[in-house]
Amino acid sequence: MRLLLVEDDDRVAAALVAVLGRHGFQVRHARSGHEALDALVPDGNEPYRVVLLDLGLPDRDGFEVCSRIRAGSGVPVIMVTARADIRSRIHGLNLGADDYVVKPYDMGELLARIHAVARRGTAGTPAENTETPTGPLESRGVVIDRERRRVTVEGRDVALTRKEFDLLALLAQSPGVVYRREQIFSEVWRSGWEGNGRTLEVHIGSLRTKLGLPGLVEAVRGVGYRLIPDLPADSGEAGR
Amino acid sequence: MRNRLLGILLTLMACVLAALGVPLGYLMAAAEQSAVVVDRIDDAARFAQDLPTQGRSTAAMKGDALPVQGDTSRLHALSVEAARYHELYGARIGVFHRDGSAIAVAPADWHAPTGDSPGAEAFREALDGRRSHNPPQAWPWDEDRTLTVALPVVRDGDVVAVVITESPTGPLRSRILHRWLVIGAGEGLAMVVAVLLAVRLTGWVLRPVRTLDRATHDIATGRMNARVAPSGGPPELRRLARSFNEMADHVVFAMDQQRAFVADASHQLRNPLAALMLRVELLGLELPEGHDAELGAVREEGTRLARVLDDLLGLATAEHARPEPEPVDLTALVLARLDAWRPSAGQRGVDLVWDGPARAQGWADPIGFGSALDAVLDNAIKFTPAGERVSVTVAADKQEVAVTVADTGPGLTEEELERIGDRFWRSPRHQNVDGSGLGLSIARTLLLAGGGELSFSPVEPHGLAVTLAAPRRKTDL
Repeated sequence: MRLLLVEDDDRVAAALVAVLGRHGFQVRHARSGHEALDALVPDGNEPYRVVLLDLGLPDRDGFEVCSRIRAGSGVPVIMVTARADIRSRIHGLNLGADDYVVKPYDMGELLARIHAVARRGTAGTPAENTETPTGPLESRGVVIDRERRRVTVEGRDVALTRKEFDLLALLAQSPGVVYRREQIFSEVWRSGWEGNGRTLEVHIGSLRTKLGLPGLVEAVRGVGYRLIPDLPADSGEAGR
Repeated sequence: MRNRLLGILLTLMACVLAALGVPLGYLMAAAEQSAVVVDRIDDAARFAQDLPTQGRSTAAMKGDALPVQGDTSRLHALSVEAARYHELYGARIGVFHRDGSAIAVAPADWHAPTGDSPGAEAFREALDGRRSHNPPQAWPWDEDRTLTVALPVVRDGDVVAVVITESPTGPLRSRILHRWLVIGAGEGLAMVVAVLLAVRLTGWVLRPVRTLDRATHDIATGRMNARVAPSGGPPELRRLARSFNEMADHVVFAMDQQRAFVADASHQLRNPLAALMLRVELLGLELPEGHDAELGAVREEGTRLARVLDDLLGLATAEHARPEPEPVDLTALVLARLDAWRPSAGQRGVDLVWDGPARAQGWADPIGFGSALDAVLDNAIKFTPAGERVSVTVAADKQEVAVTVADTGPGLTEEELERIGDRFWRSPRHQNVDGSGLGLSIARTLLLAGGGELSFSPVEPHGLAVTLAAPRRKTDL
């Protein structure tokens, strides 16, 4: 999942890029509003799914950048800023920001919000093929049919339990992106509480066995799990 | 001050007027009387001249009191003249021999004064050859006094007779009284003018003082934009007003600076703190398994620091706030806040109970008062052990509505009671309880801004009672 980070504080940006990279996001860092608007011009690459926009920019006001982004594209914008006052929040959301996060934030919360607005961003374009059965996993021979809740590997039906299917579907939403344990529990088990120890590991294990693709779901230590769509293309921009 | 200044000015004025008026009145009376006396002396002198005693030897005169023949007609003329004089002027006149027998008298039944009346005194002096000097002053309040003037008739160096006039002082007294009334009216007029001038003068002097006083009161009660409008008054006070405005500007500027600094600091610290937290997150990814607890603790520290920043910003905003107190039913407000806190208290096993009248109207800023109550309740619930209760009491008296939140926590020592509510102050015994130490400061600031106050008292046997008070009636902030 590609993200655009607009942040003038290099130290914050470097740390955030590193953390997001570890979570499997491809992050482009823009230091100014001008640079951010330039980066949003379509260039043939995969479009940005989410923009993280700091309001304190050197060249122009963050609010103005937000409304210009909104004018040019439908990409979800999360304002990440030190301005905590309620008026800035309201103003930011009114200008078209999809979410508003105040620094310092909890990383888990920021990631959950990124996923949330990314999901809404795709839900807004149902005609696109992001959620179609032939979706992003075609290359590995795995096809997920969400409507019928069926999974085929190389044309062969695989019987998955309800939770196993939900887990696979969640990871398949953004291949390459690491889903944190707490997020998986929230979305699959509908619980804010991280189960009894090994529930998640057990489900991942059985998923790997049933699909017959041990490398498809990768565990990222200390963070969570992700889906690797293509074996050779793994080490792309993600580790920047 | 106005009354005192007026009093002093008017007393001084009255003293000056009295110092001028009393001698003037006295002199006036004396002048009037001496005019009458001189007049009478002249009259008496004329009668003395007319006394037909020329050509008689002293011895003959001494031996024989009767005038010689031929003088009888003149004597008669003298008597007629005296009668006419009496008729005309109302003054009694008499020409007497040395022994007191009358030569010519009008009215006819009048005798030479005897005894020790003023007339007799004048008579004796005249016998000694002295003219009457000024008789005792006749005052308007003297009743039925007469003015006696005696004049010796001297022939060849001897006193042969005495002319006495005795005039009623009625006309004189009423003339003096009349003069005095004129003087009194003048003084009264002067006094009225003086009062008007004094009132204007004190008004002129005191108007800047009053505006200064009002502005000082406004600033003292937190209305920092109060200034003294440039107006009249003495130059010194005008300069004082200007200096006051400058001082107020500086104070406001310094306060704004301080507030802006707090807000900026809490703002500016967010970026480094965010970077730090991200680095910690990154570091956590590198850590081998089994350090989750430490990582969690570091995250928590970061969150705590972030909350301190939030509270600081909250304090700066609360100090900046200009709440508009309005009539609020504080019972309803307290009940609403208690409902909001009940789940949180329930989680800690703390019971929230309340007591008070069904309605308690007070003047407060509902949001500020609610926020302050939140901070106090938060504190009370935090320090109350599970299974105990926090009791909230609403009490209204004539002056104010008091909302008391009493916990059964460890309470505070007397020394600690004095410090509670100071910024960042926390009891050393409670350093490990959540919080920044700013909650009560914010509560106090919010309450003060709304015209109320925050006070603390111990609860027996242990615990702390915090009282939030709001005035019953609109206070002039």
